[in-house]
Amino acid sequence: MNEEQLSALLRIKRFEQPPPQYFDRLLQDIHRRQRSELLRRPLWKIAAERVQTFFSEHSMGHLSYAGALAGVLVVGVAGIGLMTAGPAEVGPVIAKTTPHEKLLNIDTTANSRLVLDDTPSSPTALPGYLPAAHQPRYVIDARPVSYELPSSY
Amino acid sequence: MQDDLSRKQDDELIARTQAGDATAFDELVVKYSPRLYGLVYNMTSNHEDTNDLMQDIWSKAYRSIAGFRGKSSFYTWIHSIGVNMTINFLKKRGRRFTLSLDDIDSNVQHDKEFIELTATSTPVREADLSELQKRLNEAMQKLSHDHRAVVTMFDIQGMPHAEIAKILGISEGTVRSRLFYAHRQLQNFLTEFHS
Repeated sequence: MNEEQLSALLRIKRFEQPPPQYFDRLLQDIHRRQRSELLRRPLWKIAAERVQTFFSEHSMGHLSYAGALAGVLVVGVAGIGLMTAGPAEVGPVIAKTTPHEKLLNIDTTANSRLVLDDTPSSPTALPGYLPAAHQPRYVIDARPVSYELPSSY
Repeated sequence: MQDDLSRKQDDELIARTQAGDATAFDELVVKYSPRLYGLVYNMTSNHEDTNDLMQDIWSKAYRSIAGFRGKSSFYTWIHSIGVNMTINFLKKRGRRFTLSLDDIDSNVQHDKEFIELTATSTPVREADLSELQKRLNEAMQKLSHDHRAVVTMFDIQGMPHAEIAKILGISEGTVRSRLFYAHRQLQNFLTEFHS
């Protein structure tokens, strides 16, 4: 088979076309697909588009649009800040529970003992803060236990 | 490949589409789908796959048309999307495919070129038309994706080398060399049919 015969054979393939109504159906299929893709868009994209449409419909300038966007951002950042500040107070669990416990004196046969103060806590004490005098001290065996502050020696 | 008037019309339709006029995009779909179908079908040899790919290609084009800046013609742009998506599809499909051969369009019987081809004393005259199609499609499927794309655009769709080079993003020399090797391979595959 020579080059010319091959080219002639290949040219026949251009007549392989779908039925004429196929292209009308294709257009409908494309429309259907475009609609379904629109519905599958993420929420934030739809929201952003609506905000943009709102500002464009009310013929507001770029500056007012930027101002409003900045406002939304500030509120958002403040909200996030408040939300993240909350859990920080929960942090020191010992500080909250300690004032209500009378005494915790762990005496084990091990080489060290954990001693907690039994002094009533001050009602004005800030939650999350334990004064130095109230903090547990680790006392090594064979030494006298003292409740005095180290600075008082 | 594309005259100035056609390109001007395309530019107008693209501008309207970019401004949000969906009917303008429909006009582009109607205008280019038959040629695009030929390109994709001759690369896949399967009408169902071609139908799926056509929808994928036009969906991608619609999503990307906002970024179309007119550096190339819409014709080149949509064909580039078509070829790339089809090659990616073929790579994923691998060897698992079946040829779906429909009857040649009835218009072909009245086509001058077709009449000449089947009337002269070529091997084609003796062959059954459906067998001919089958052989050709099988031979085409034996080519690599890149070679098949070049043969489809040049031999079947009649595009010039320069246009193919633009669509594929390669040099004209590469187009010519791919065509040369593809033709040699096809000739070898069809030798049995010829004899």
